[in-house]
This record gives sequence, structure tokens and C-alpha cells, in this order.
Amino acid sequence: MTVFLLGAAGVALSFSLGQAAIPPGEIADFLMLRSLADGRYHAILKMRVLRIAAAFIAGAGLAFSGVVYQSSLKNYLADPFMLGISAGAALFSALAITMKFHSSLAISAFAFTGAILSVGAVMAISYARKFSSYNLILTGIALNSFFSSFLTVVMYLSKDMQNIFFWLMGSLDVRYADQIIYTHLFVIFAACYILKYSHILDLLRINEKTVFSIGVDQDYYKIKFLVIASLMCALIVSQTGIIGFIGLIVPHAARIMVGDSHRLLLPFSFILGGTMLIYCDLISRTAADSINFPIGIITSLVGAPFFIFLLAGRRKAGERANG
Amino acid sequence: MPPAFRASGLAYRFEGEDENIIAGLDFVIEPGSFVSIVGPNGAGKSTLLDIMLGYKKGYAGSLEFFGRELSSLSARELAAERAYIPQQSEDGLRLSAYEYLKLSNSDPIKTRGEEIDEILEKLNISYLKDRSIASMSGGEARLVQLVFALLRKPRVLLLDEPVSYLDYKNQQAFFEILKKEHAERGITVAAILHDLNLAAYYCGEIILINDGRILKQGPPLEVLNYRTLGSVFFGASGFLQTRPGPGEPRGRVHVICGGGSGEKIIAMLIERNFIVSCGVLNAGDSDWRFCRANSVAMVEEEPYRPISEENYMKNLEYIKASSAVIVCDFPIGAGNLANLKFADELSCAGGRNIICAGRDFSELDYTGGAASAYLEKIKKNARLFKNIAEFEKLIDSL
Repeated sequence: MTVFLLGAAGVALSFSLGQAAIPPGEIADFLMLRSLADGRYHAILKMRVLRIAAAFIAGAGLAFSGVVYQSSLKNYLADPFMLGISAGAALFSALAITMKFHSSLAISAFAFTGAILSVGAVMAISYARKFSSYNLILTGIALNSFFSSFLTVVMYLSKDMQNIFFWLMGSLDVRYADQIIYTHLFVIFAACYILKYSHILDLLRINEKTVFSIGVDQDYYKIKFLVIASLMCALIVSQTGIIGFIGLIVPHAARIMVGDSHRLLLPFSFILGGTMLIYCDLISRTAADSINFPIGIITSLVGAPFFIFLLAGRRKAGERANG
Repeated sequence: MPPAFRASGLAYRFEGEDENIIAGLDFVIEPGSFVSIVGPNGAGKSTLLDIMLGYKKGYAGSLEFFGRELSSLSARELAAERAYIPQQSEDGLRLSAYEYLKLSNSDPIKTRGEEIDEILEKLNISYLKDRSIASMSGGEARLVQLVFALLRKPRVLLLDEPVSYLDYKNQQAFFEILKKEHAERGITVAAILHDLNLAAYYCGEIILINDGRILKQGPPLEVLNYRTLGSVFFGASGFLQTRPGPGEPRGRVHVICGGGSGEKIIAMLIERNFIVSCGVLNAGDSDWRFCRANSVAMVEEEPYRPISEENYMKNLEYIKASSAVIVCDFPIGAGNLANLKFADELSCAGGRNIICAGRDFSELDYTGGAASAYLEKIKKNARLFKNIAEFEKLIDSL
């Protein structure tokens, strides 16, 4: 509940704050689709709607797929970038930039292809051997570092190093409303689909042989969930660049707050992730005059202390429970 | 009804290894029986249970599950018949017991909440319903796992060391519930156990496995005796339960031993209806524990204390009252040297049978020669045995 309120407050603040502050009355008018007294604000507000929508869906989707990754891989250190999505997207977008594709749509398409190729390669390689979380993670680590080195080579040789670097840091500057709408549709649809199987995600967390004994084919579900979460994540990354930390920290924070039951954990992470990214975006736009800090930096700067604070609280609670 | 399990020539080998971990097992587990699988670490118990679970596929030989070859059954078909409790507990799981138990049906809509309430109520653990598994004690978490398995309404329940990490009280609680459910619902239970006392107490039948082979299958008293266990659990002590055999009691025998050297000998004597006494033993010594477990009369000394004059005299009384004295091969130091002093009284021990371990005691002599001197004297008047088989012959001639 608190998170909902925080989210709403965040949206309101995001509307009004920025390089140009907009009075609340104007925002209300804008949201009610009333004609505006002051036409100046209209364009800015339209931009901000897109931005808030992009921040929310990116944060929500990354956090959601973070939960799915952690539970499917049975590893609490997993995040959505573990199986190569970020490395693949980064490499391919760098290639696109180097090859002078300037339209953001083209770069997005490249990034999406790269992300899907790399996560697909990781899954195929580990499936060809013995399919296990352990194999997946190891293959992911190997491919991640391979792609990262490749990326360094591309950046070193490229004349557009700064552009590439900027893309890698993540950005919520989304120009096309269509893009955001399709991303929303897909992410929300995929999230609802996975939510339907929340009890299977619960099952993946418990003893493997116990799950086997009740006749559930774990590998089938693991692959299915990972594929959907990866698509979701690849789509987001292809639009926003690499926004780190949300997919790792928010799931953990949510677990601490609402527990391991996915029926609650998944929607909660979704909303918490979206809210958090809206705030991070707000900070990135307002922290310093006339500079937009890259969003990827802010998520870490804000997320890390927030998470440490949560951990400290949990330790105290743990001591009480044990004592 | 066909047996719950019938194995013939069941064998299993890990991928890439040359030797079978399970090497040709033949056994039958009847429906409604309560069987435990025992054996040392690495004997192949868990592998066997994994095969019975259907988790490890690709076995050789045949394993029938209610008359059908297990490998031909699908995971779903198996799931309808048998449940499983793993060795590991659900550590740190932040689900409430109720949420966890709901998962026992892979289709959660079919799990009725009342069913869970009912069984928790019946087992007197309703208070656990809304507690998180992570916050439970080991015993509580285990009970919840048992409820999970019972909610599957299985015909067969497989358990892999279900109580290894529990204290004595919780072990009892777990098994009391298991026994009750077994009796009420006629569930066939097969459990790997390390605690042989639990196995003996609760199970109608025990399968003893060593090196991937079945050493013995049968009721506890037949399987758990020094002969079978001694060869499997080297040096294990304190749990062997022996009973006098049929027939009249034979003579009194006094055994001088220590450090586990007397266990097998005493067990053998008890089985042959001798009235055995033993001493002097320090309390806590493995022979002392064995004697206590089998109610053998003994002269006890406080732990880690040298034998007192008083206890020495007591022991001598026992020796005098016995028709035979048996000296085992045990380490001798200043503290227990008095156990050999009866050699000085040999004149009064005349006509008594003395049986002594025939080995060279010099490596067991920590007294600088005093013990060896006594042993010289004893051996001169004694019949010697080199191993347990020779000893067996000697006592049969008593």
C-alpha cells in the first residue's frame, strides 16, 4: 500500500519537476485532457508522460524478470543480465552505432537481436550438455565476458566511443510513443502470463527431488520462464540501454518485504521496480541543473544504500527472531 | 496384490564410472510394510532410494512398482502413487507452512484448504500454519515436510534420512506420527536411516546394504546383530543388542577388556547363554557402554581414574566366581594395569579356564614392561586365540 502511494507521489513529482518546473494546476489540466491555459507546458508534459511511462515499464519489467531469473535459476545472485542479455545488446548496439545507424529504432533493433542471440546461445549451449541452473549460469558468465571483451574491442576501434558509452549507461529519452505502447503491452501481457504460474515458481524454489516426486517437469517450466523473462528484458534493454541493479536489488528488497510467495512477490516487485525507476529518473533529471545524469548510474547510487538499509533491518529482525 | 517394490538384479552405474554403485540387488517390499534401509556412508542407499523414486533412470535389471516396471511409468503416474521426503530441509524458505503445503498439489486450485487444516489439527501442529518455514526449528520444519508428503495421499512413502539432523525428542515425534499414519492408512514406508536404534524400534523389516549389495534383509533382530553389523560398521559400538539364545544358561565367565576389544566376545558369550561379567572398566569406555546397553554385570571405575584397590578386590571376586576368565587384547597403561594383577593370584585361580588373546601385546603395553610380565604369566596357563573364529571354537569346548 505504502509503495502504491509512493508510486503515485513519484509520478506527480516527476510531472512537475525537471529542468522546467510546472505548477500542479497545469498538470491536473493536462491529465484531464483539458485545453491548456498555457501552451508552453504542453510539449514538455507530453515528453514527461512518455518518460514516466518508459521509466515505469523498464523498472517494473527488469524487477519482474529479475524475480523470475532468480527463482528459475535457483540462485539469489542472479539478475536479468546473467545469461548474456546486456552483453549481447551492448555489443550489437555498439556495432550499430559504429556502422552509423543513427535512428534509435535501428539501434534498438540491433540491441534486441544481440540480446536474444546471446541468451539463446547460452540456453542452447547448456541445453546441449546437461540442462541445469549451474550449467546455465556458468555458460552465461563465460559468454558475458566474451561479449564484453568484444565490446571493448569495438569501442576501442570505433570513432563513436562517446555515443556507445552513452548508450551503455542507459537512458529514458524515448522519442516514439508507439515504442513505449508496444513495450507496455508486451511486458504487461508476459507478466500476467507468468503470474498465472506463480505456484510453479514457488515450487522451483523448494527441493528439486520433492518437486520431481509430485510430477512437475521442472526443466520445462524453467526454460519457459527464462525465455519469457528474457524476451521481456531484451525488449526493455533495447529501448533504454543497460540499466543495472534494478533487476537484482528490487527482487531482494521485495522478498524482504513480502516474502517468497510469488503470487505476492511478482506483482509487488513489478510495482516496486517501476516506482523505484521513476524516482531514480527524477533524481537524474533534478540533481544538477542542466545535466541529465545517466539513469544507470543513479540506480546504483540510490539502490545500493537503500538495499544496505534493508539488509541491516533484516539482520536486526533476524536476531530478535533467534534470540 | 503385487509387492510395492520387487527388484531383481537391480544395478546402477554413474555415468562415466566403471564400477556399479548398486550391484545386483534382489529384494521385495510388501505393500503396507515399514522398511528401513541401513548401511554405511557410500553403500549406495541414497542411490537406491533415488532409483525407487524414479529420479535416477537408466538402471539395469528390473524394478517393479506394484507389478509394473518402474522405468515404464511416467513422472505423473508415479506422483499419484508415491511421495518423498528428501534429506535436506527447506532452509530459509520464506513461505508460511500453509503456502508451502498448498504446493503439495501441483494444481493449487485442487488443494483444499480444509484438508490442510484438518491434518495440521490432527497432528497438533495448527500453530505452525501461518509461521514462515525459515523461522521454524529443525523439528517443526521436518514435520511440515511430512505433512506435505501425507497430503499427496501416497500408497508409498520414501524417506531419505528424515531425522538425521533432529534431536532425540523430535526424532521420536516424527516417527510416532509416521508410524501412526502408516498404520491408519496402510502406507508402505521405506526410509533410509542412520540411527539403528530407531530402525530396530520402528521398522518391521531392515535391509542392510554394504558396497552396493544387500548383506541381509529381515526383521531387526535378525539383521542387527554383531555378526552382520560388525563386518559393516567397523569399530561402531554401543548399539549392538544381543539376546541369549535358546536353552539353559551355561557357566559364569569374566571378561577383562577395554576400548572396544570385548564387544564381539561378550556378544558371542551372551548368545551362547553364558552369564557374563566384565571389569574393571572406566565409565564411558566403549566396552563399558556396550556392557551397559546389554545389562552385563561389571565392575566400574570413574572415568579416567586408575583402578582403586576396592574395585580391584571386587573384580577378583568376580574372577573367583567364574569358571572361565577371558583376557582380550586391549591397551594397558598404569591406570588399568591392576586388571592383570589377578595373574599373581593364579594359585587361587587354579583349575580355572583362562582364555587369552594370542597377539603380541608389546605394542599395547604402555607400562614399560610391567604389563608384558603379567601377560607372560597369564599366557603360560591360558589357551590362546588369534581371531574371533578361533575364540568361537575355544568357547564351544568350554
